Amino acid sequence: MYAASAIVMNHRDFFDAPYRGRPQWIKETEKLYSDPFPPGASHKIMAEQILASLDLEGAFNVQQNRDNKVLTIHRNDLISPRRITYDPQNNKLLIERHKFRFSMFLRRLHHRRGYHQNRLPDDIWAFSVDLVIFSMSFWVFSGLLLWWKVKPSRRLGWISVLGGIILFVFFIIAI
Amino acid sequence: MNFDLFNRRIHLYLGLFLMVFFLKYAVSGFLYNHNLGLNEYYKDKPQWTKLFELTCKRPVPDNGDLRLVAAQILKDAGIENSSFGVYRAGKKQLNINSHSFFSTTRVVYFIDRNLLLVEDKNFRWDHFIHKFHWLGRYQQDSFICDAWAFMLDLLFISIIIWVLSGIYMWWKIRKTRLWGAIALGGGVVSFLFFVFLL
Repeated sequence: MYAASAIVMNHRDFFDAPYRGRPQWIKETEKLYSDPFPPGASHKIMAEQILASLDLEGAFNVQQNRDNKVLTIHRNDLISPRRITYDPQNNKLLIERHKFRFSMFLRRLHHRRGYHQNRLPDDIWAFSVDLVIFSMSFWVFSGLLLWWKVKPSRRLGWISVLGGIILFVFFIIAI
Repeated sequence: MNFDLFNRRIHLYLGLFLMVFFLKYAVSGFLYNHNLGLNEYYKDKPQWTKLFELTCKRPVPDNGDLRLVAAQILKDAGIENSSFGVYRAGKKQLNINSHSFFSTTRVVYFIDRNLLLVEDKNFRWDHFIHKFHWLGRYQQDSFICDAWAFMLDLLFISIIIWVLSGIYMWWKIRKTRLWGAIALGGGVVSFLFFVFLL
């Protein structure tokens, strides 16, 4: 998954080109929303309340426009991400769904990380990311050990290891 | 050389050659996953150092390729990093961030005042490691970034080759088939479970 999504991100222009200029969001519904918020409620609490009322609980981020106080909630569903716009002046909710694109789906998988959502499924996912990271490091070191055990491959192995390191250092300095 | 030996050799030497490139994603990925921004350590230190101001009269199109304008502005300011990003911060301001692995230079163009403000980001180890994860793509129109992006393509394709060649080698060892199938199946099922749950 990380390899495929990284290829998509490395060639973003190519994968985005067919969709450029086309609408990305599909309107699902628009409705009135007049439930009161607790006094002094933060954007996050307001967003949680709105998402709960729509049965859309889950990972999200939220922003509020400074001028018109419109709240924009991005519900970060991996398959069907939604944008919920709450207009407090007119008590209106607009719910839109992002058009499914496989390349975007891969990008969402790639970017999903961290323990900050305070939800068990997200924490388990973050733990699985840690497991991948641990495994990557383990594969490198166990691979080195396995290589060292095969004497005939040592010379070419050294050339490969040193070639990779020199190239890496060159890029770090040159970029 | 038969296919089995060829498969093992490709698996081994690609791995050894790309080992550092692979590890950089593990290290930077860990920082991202734990949001170890070292923000506490750096919070009382200034983030930016002002370098200079410059008069600039480059027109900025409302709708158009900002990268072209940004490249000209960077040239005006004498900044030669091979990688940059640009975005509008309101109607009257253009922000350009020019990156190398060791530095970030920010050029703020105040369009209505014909003024460029050029600042350097003070070095942070965590930001340096973050850059292992995202710096340098084909969009940068510089040979060195294209070469780096090509290396990354090679790495990503190699990861897929490691997976497929690993599966092939596993299948060849009859004794490990059962446990391997449990591990592989368990991974696929749990992955799908989370894709639908999250």
